[in-house]
Amino acid sequence: MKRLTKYFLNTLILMYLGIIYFTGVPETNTLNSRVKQKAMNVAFAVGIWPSWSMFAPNPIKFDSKSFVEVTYKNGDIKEYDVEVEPKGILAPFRKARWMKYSQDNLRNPSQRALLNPAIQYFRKKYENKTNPIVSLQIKRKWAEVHPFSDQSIPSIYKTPRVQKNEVLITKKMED
Amino acid sequence: MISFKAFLRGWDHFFYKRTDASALCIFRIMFGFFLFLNGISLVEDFQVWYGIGDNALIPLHDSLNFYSNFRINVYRWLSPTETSAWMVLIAYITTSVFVMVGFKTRISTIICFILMVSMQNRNYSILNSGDTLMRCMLFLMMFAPTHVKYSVDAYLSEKKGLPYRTDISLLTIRLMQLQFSLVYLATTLFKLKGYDWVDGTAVYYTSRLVNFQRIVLPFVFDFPFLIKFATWSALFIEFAMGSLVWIKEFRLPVLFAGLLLHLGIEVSMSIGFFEWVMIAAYILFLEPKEVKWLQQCLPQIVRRQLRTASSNFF
Repeated sequence: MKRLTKYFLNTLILMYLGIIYFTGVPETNTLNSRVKQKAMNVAFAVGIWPSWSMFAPNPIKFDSKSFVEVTYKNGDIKEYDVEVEPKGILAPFRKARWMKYSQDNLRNPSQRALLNPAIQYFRKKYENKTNPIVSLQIKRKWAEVHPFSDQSIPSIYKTPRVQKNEVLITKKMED
Repeated sequence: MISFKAFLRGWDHFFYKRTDASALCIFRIMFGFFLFLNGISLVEDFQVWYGIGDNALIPLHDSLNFYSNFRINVYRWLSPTETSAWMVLIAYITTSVFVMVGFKTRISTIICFILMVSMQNRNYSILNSGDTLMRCMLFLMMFAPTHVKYSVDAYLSEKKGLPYRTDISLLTIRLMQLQFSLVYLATTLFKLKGYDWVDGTAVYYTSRLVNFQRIVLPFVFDFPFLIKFATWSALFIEFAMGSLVWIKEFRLPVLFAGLLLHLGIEVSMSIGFFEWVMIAAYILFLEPKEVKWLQQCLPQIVRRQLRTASSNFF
């Protein structure tokens, strides 16, 4: 291999390693976080942005689900799960996407931009020409896992949970 | 103290030594298969995730205006119609098959990468670590000579009387190995920033997340000492995959422990493609003679198992 080619390749290797390192590992100091921002811009442009904080720094401690509550003109109120229940051999992969959307992102305060388009989508999905939708609500229900104790821990089948609810968005429909 | 000259020699040896291409080409087949499954698993929910207008949970114009910085996104240049949205997925599935069988491998991998990045930019709200891992690996695959063995390209080339060289530079394999190690190292560092992994209670919480459960392992996670053992073992194995795997004497035991960890997670939890791509990539850490041994032994074991199963059945 020609020397110049090798220098060029080595520069690319170093750049690549720098980008995956600074974008991948958590920030530890100011310099690191400044470089991280710059490296992140390159990673997004090239298509190698990372996300390796799996179940970290702490795993979530609740089971969360999002629901759509539809109120119709005749007073009927119906509740639907945001997630669909996939069937078949590819179900685990489809389910992982629905879980990510419904359990991680839709309920996330930093992802509020997802709520209005979701309202539009569910309005169309559950519309009824003879009985129009009056209002639509997206809410989240979650169950917190009983805290760990060194003395005794509840069986995996009977772990107590604290049920909680939160309304994420309510939209009244115009005629 | 190591001299600069010795460092450069080591660098050259590490990145540019030549090796047999079998491991890389077998990885291409497995990885191509996962890319294909990924594409097929998108078909049924396609309208919801990538459709046009109110048929999608995130409208196209919203997703295009979402990012202020430059991103690869073919949807920006396509007409906003259902047909063009479907064309992207169909092209992605087709190129993933081409990657798997090794037909026009280099160009197929490049197109597949561009389409995958575009789809991930089109709808970021459904991405998990498996999607991120596949994208980062596909980036490196674009530069790797994955076509030199076990591929239609290699077959056609041989037929023409111009067979490919099957000893390749280690460069892209090393970069893939480093990427994998960094995934483990990064996740370990993220976990060490919290307290549940450090005090040994993390597996208690993850094992009780009903939404993630696949097969509930009875008793194993009902005792505090087993919970702590499982938590710290997982953390140590992840750390080892990021560091000790580079030490010759520890490589195989660490890989074996990593394999058990991923199989354990796959059995008990539902987390998309992540575990499978990780397991497939372990082959890149094997020496050529170990790959050869696997190639010789695995078909024999499978054949023996099939024979036993069929004789028991009939």
